[in-house]
Amino acid sequence: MSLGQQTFSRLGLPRWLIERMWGLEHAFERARASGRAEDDTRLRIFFVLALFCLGFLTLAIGATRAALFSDARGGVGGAPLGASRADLVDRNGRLLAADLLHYGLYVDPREIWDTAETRRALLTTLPDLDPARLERALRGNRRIFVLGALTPADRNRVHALGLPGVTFEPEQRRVYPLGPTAAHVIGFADAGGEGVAGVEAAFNDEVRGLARNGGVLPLSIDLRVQGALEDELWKAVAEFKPVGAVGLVTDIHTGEILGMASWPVYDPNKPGKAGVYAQTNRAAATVFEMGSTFKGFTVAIGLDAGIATPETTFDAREPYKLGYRTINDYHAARKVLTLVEVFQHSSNIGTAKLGVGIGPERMGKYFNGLGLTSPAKVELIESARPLTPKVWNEDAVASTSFGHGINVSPLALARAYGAVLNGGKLIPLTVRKLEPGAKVDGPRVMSERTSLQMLSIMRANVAGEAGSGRSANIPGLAVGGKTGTGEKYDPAIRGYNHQRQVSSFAAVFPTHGPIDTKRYFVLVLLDEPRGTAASAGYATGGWVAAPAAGRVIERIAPFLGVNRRPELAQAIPVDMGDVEAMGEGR
Amino acid sequence: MKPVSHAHAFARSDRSPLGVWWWTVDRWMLGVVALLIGIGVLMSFAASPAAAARMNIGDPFHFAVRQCVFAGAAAFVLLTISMLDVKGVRRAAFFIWLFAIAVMIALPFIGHSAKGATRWLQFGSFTFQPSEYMKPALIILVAWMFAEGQKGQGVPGVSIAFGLYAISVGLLLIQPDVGQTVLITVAFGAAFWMAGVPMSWVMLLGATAIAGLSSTYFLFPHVASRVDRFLSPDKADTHQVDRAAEAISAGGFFGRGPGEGVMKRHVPDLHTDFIYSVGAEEYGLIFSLLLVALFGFVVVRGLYRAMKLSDPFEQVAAAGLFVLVGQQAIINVAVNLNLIPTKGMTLPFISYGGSSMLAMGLTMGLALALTRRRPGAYTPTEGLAKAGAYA
Repeated sequence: MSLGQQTFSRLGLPRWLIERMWGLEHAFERARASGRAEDDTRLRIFFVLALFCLGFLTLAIGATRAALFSDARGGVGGAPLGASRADLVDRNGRLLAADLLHYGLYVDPREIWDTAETRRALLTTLPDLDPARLERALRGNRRIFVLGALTPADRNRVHALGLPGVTFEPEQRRVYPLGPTAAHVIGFADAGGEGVAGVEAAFNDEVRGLARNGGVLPLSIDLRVQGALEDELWKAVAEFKPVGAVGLVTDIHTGEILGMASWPVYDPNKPGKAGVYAQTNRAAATVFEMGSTFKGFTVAIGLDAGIATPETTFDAREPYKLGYRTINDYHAARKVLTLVEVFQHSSNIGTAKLGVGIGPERMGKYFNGLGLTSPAKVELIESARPLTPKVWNEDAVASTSFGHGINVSPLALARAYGAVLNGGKLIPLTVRKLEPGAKVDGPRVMSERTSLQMLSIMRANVAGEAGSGRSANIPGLAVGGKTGTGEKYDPAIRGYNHQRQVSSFAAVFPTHGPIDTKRYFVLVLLDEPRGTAASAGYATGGWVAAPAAGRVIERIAPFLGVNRRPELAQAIPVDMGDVEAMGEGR
Repeated sequence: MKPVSHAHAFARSDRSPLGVWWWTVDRWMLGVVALLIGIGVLMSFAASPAAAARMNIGDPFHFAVRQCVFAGAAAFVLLTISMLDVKGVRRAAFFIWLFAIAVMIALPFIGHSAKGATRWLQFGSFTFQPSEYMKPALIILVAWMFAEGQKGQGVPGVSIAFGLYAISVGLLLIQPDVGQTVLITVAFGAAFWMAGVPMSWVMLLGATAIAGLSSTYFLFPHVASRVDRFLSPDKADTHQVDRAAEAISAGGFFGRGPGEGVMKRHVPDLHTDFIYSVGAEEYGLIFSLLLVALFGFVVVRGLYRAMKLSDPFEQVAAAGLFVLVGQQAIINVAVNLNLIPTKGMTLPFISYGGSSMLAMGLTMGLALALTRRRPGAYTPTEGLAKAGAYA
């Protein structure tokens, strides 16, 4: 027994363990002494050396990959972020909406040195920061988003605080540089970059797609027209204090909406600050009983269907009794009126009689043809479904002939007037800019001759001494138009409330020239206006809407290339039936 | 830093202890280690202001100045130890091991707790981590024991070596310090294997090691969470590693420029465990590759020289020490590159830390002492011997 073995037995370890241990020791010793190559220390060190070579090579490759081919760019560096939505511009290229680089604020409590200081400094610097939200982030254990849509100036102010653990991530935010201007047309997009309303919603996919190619989306809106329209509409609102208002300018040949305003307005940069009421685009999403502006359709239908000529007379001396109801005139003339006079006096009796003459079936067909019984065809998702008579009978026809018993959106009215005035083709409205000179075609719903007759009749209503729209007569611009004053149904009294009116003026200009003359339709509508001393207490379309429409026309005509022609101060003689006689001479 | 500034201080014929040392020591190795220490000091000047500010230390160069002191001390230790002869190496290792173990036994009663572990002794503003010094000493001792056991003169070398290992690891796991345990286990295993374990034993030991590693996963929650974090980065909190990846990526080829790094302001422990990322951000891939190359040079050259030694103890001890240095460098850099799970481990000579720095000085000093040229230390023939040491 060796010295070592004796030592171990003296330690009192069990004999079998000592035996076992020495067995191992000798095996180790023998392995060394056997001289096999794989047991050689040099070879084994060489093997370890090779392993380390491999390890360091792996590190070199890993380091190269991490330094040159890594996509780890986060809060500290940050690659530039592409716009997620394309710019929106007006028809002349002026910017309406754009994605701008903003910053999201992130707080990482693990990196913060002084929580109290960070809390105080951030809350003072960023008034929009929600204290509760910041508190949650400060008490957390990871980097967390606390506030978005910070401008570079905001970010610089926070940077100047020199707070550790407070970092930024770039983010794209939609910005509407003009604020409330054209807000309802443009609509807005949510923080996630998805369109919610207006063009932003209507062309959501296209706007996102264009952004990838760096394109822009030009709208049909002309900012100069939009500006004048809004300005005059706000002025009328200030004067007559309605609960809502609509202004529209459309190109009747192309269907392009050049201006569309709705009041009350909101700022699409902060849509959340406005309620649904302000966000609603009243031109598209609200339906009104339009009242007398519908007489334009009835007269046109009567002419087009050959039921009447401009000289056909209607007896308006007595109220018209139809079934259980009696139809009265607001401006009772108490005489026999020609069709042109019926239009000018806005005679309910005359139009109701004409409507009954046209007949329910034909009236329904024409209304369908004019697109009055379906949502106005336009890209906007807000376009509202009209409320139409359940059955087209004499009673319904008599009502709808002067714009009662049917609720349509202002856009639907504009589209139908477009068809009546553009030569008889029903074309869709659009908020997208069309190529200059684009020809838009649609189903024919009326004859060109009817259109020309209607232009004359509407012109007469503005130019004539007796015309209800004479306050819209702008010298030299040959404005034509029709007033409308619908009474609103009041659930409280279960009937029409004479105090709550929808007053409007539907205008067209210029009315002179051949059928393909560039023409524009203008609508001004005030919902529940209040009469003033200046309007002699009246709140009807002729008093509150027609002057505003006239001013709009006066201001936008230069932008639209409509020249004043002083010789056109008088009304156009209405074509009385001889198709060949009209044309150049006028 | 070094007592000699140029080679001409010693003539070939100089037989003074310093002269002998200079002509026998591995001067290339010495130069590269000096370069690494220099880089460490340089990096500490980059990282110190950020780390000092984070810890509310007024002097921005608090850590840099201390690192300079540590570097000087480490260089002194390295040079002093490298002058020892083989007997002196064994003797030093024995006493250092005994001392470290004694302190580790006392740690639970007198130690300083930080980050959920009791690993340190505190003297004023300095902390002392005995396990760092225990590592190289243990490797020397077990290599010695393996060699003695193989001589067949009645010394139960393997048993003693395993006993020393068991005591060391047991005390480490009490702290607990799984990282050092893994380091020691790997170095110990490597030493055992290089000493000539029969291949049949290797399988058995490999299985034991795997069992041991998987049991640490289940026994130590922080180990489990780190591994989980590595395996499923989406769910887990990978703050340090993410910032490191961003920093290295931001550094690119040439780096952001000296002092321009931003990652150092965001990450805790950057001046210790993540110093590599700080360097990669400021000095770029060139710096990273240089660092990897320098460590590669130290380890490969060291192992090569160990291979060429003729005495089995010297071979295994020297190789074991280089394994210790090499694995620590590889693990640290791999963590920074997110190639392996996060493991709190310093980068030899570069990371801030007195214990780590001095222990590395000790380790390299021992390794240099063992690889010095002595009569008969290296076999005259080049290349691998045909058979074992006694062939």
